[in-house]
Amino acid sequence: MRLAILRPADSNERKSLYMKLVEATIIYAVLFFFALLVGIPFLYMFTGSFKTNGQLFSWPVNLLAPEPTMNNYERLLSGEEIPYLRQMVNSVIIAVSQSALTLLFASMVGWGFAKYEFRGKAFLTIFLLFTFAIPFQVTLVPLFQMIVRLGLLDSFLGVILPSSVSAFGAFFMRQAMVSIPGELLDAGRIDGASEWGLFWRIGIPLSRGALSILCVLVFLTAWNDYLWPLIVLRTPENFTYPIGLATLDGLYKVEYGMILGGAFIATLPIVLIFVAGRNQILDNLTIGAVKQ
Amino acid sequence: MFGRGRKIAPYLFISPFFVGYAIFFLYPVIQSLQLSFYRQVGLTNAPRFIGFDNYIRLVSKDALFIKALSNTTYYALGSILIIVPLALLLALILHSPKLRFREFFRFLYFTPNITAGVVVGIIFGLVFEEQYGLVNNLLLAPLGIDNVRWLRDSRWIMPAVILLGVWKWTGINAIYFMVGLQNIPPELKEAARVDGATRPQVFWHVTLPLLRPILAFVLTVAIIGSYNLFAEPAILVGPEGGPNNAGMTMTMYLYNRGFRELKMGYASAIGYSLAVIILILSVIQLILIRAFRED
Amino acid sequence: MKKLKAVLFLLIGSVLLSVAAPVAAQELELWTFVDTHARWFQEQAERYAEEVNADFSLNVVQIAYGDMHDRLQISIQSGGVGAPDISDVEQGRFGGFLRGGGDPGFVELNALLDGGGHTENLVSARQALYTSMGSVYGIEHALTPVVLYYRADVWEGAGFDPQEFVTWDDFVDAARAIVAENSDVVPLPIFERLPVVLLRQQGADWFNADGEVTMDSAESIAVMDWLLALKDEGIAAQTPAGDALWAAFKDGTMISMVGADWYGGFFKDNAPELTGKWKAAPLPAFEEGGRRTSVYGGTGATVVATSDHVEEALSFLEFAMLSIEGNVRRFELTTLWPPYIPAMADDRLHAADEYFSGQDLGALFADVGPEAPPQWQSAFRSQLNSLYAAAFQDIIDGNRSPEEVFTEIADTIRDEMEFES
Repeated sequence: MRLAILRPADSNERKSLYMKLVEATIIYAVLFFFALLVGIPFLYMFTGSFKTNGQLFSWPVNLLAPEPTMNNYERLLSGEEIPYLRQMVNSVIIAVSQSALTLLFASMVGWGFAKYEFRGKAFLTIFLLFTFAIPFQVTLVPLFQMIVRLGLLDSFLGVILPSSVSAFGAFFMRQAMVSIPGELLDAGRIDGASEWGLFWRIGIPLSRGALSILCVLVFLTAWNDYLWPLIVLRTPENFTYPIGLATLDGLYKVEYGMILGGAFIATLPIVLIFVAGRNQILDNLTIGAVKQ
Repeated sequence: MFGRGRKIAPYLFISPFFVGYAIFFLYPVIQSLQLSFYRQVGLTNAPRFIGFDNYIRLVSKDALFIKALSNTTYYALGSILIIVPLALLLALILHSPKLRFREFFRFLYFTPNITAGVVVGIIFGLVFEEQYGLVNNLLLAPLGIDNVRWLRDSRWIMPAVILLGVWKWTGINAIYFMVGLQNIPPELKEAARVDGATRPQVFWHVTLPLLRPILAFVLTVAIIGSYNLFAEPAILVGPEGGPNNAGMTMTMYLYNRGFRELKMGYASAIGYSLAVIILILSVIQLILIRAFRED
Repeated sequence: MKKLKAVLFLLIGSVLLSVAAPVAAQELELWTFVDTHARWFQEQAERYAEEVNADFSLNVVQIAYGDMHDRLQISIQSGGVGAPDISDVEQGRFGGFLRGGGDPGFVELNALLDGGGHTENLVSARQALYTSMGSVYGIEHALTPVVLYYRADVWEGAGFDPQEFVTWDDFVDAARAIVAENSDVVPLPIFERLPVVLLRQQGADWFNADGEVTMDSAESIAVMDWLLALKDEGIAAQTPAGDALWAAFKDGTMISMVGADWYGGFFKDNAPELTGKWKAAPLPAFEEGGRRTSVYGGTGATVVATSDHVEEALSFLEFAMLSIEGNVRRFELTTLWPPYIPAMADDRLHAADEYFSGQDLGALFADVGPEAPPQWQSAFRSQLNSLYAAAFQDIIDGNRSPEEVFTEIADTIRDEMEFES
């Protein structure tokens, strides 16, 4: 028994130096190769935004921009083809509002489920879980008709409201809030706090981590969403930035340079936010999502 | 405003959400079921009751629907079969001890995930361009492979979309797996090694079974994501899915019928068909995972 | 805590702000999907403000082709939410507006056209595209006569003058000789709609005058077969997708193009470096004495019925589209040959065009224009076009025969017509 245990460990030691070097080489080679695959399209997006269509469609393919032109950015920001700055602002308004509303609704319902016993709770939980499985595509047509009837077509509210009730968010916040100790609340009640006060002064601050994760998730979804804003928003002044960029992809002509420039401008702030809070956001985000 | 009544407080807390949920989700879900039994073209025309005609037409006469369904399934299978092993491999590498630049790689692999589908669709239009594109010129030409007509040859369109999916989603899935790996107590693996297990054996018999919850999560997200696929292929090959409609997904098909041709009843029937498909897939997946658990 | 509260208020404030954000425009709004049209409309609006109504201002909005029509249709159906006052509508998409009822949601123009004495000034075959049950809803921008654009330097350098071609056989003979010298060049680029353009040249179409599908007719299949045979011979080839097409013109691969009047403007916009190298000739006929042109495309301007400024919009359209001045300027900006007969003889339409080697393109369009064949409207045209677009690559690659595909599409449309009736 003992011998058998020793042998593999022994050979492990012996191969170590040489094999470790080989192993490390392979590991880094794979990682760098993948980094290249991921990175090159981004690089091409960046350099392509300084190229004319003629330069993009020429040989040999050049990942850099040897003769950069600012023309794409000038035309994009001057609003000559699309009101791009306005569309970026629209995207910000929609994404921020949607995040705020989703967070508010989700944390309230999560709090209700986590910290109270009430009639119908079990039924509502099962009901919510059951409907959770229904894909949103089912609702698209009636939702659109409703938006038309309510006069919300081509308005930001028409985009924001239907997206602000997230069953996922409700569950997520319930999970986060259920661990808040009940003694804290009882103490608060003795001190004369209202139920709303308990939620606002204890529940919210103690689940800040979960709220920030949900906020990032909702914000990213709203910022990059295409389908629902495409259905609701009707005029270029009200478009979000992805719809605006898609309109530059025309029947006879594709304004690649302008699209790539616009894509770069829209992606950069998000990347910077993630770089700034990288490890925290990334860890929480994935752990939060996996734990859902 | 909530007073002190612990009786009514919970209802006040949950009501904003449930009112919104009822208006913007439950009502449309029911309305959609009703509408799917009607023929309605346009927003203002009167709907006409036609029973199961829309559904019958979908499965028996609508070749495009069947095509969209098979395209989407192709994408789901293809992307999952590539992404999951690849992501697992990357996660194992990223998890190896004393790795330098770990955070840099992790962040870089994650970035495609925060890029809008429209933007990805446009960039990959250039990546897969036949004559001047990156894949043909930088990857295939050095290997002596002739230009592949990625976006024109209907056989290559879905592979192109799948590669786009691999680019966009492998990183985030690798990060999910990393979380799973971190949660595996190192003692378990060490114990196995001590018992004489080789590395592959440890992987198969210790690591993989313990990753099962993460695997289930990744698969669920991937399946739902596949059936939601819209912006990327719509931009990459056009709203009709390009040559032979090879890039048309279920959601694109629903959008085209409902919001371009304004066939409201028909589009509702497509939505419900989609729901049934996802339901069936979820049940199958549950059964499979349960079966794994028993062995 | 205070900070959190402030942030929340800020967020809710931005929600409220967003409700108020969409502001009603004080000016008239016009939608188009062509940048040359946009430029022309803008210029006409300035002229109109100068000469007729100083308070007039026009916001010209350019939206991508498919998207613009989808949006217009939904806006109109939802009672005019976000709809413009005036909109271009491409003839291929006009039929879609008639689907499921018959009222397209545009202002009927009969009073304007008949009352102003304009009807007889317009080419009736073009106006028919925007007419339903006697009501006219659009004014055509272009006669869209189709001609053969060619690289004069290449063809003449090889000893051929395309102006002298009478039939497609002449063209093919010359093309054969050129390809024998240099197999890289493509004398006949095949674009998706070329088969139907050549079908119209022969007086047929994918729909007939009664709105029935005729895509699977013998002539229709024969045209496609003929193009495939030329492709196999190396004389014809498919145009590259997207902007690679302009690269192919610039590097001299594609040396001709069957195109309508508006294609002239495209050349100038996308390949300015080829100035002085192109010329245009009448299309070769399919048989001696046959028609030397076809029609391709066409877009009508419409007034949206929900507009609050219908009178002003009509007055502007009359000023811009039913006047010699407006039609002449449009030709100068876009090379769109006017469907407005009084403008056709104007000297300014017959200026030497520097881009086209000093040629008088107007004379060519005026010459072939009267022969322009009719084109039939159908509510199912855009759906047929989608089905065809998806199948086109398979036909070109020889995976499926034209007969098989055309029959299948025609049957699908017939079935659809029945399902909706």
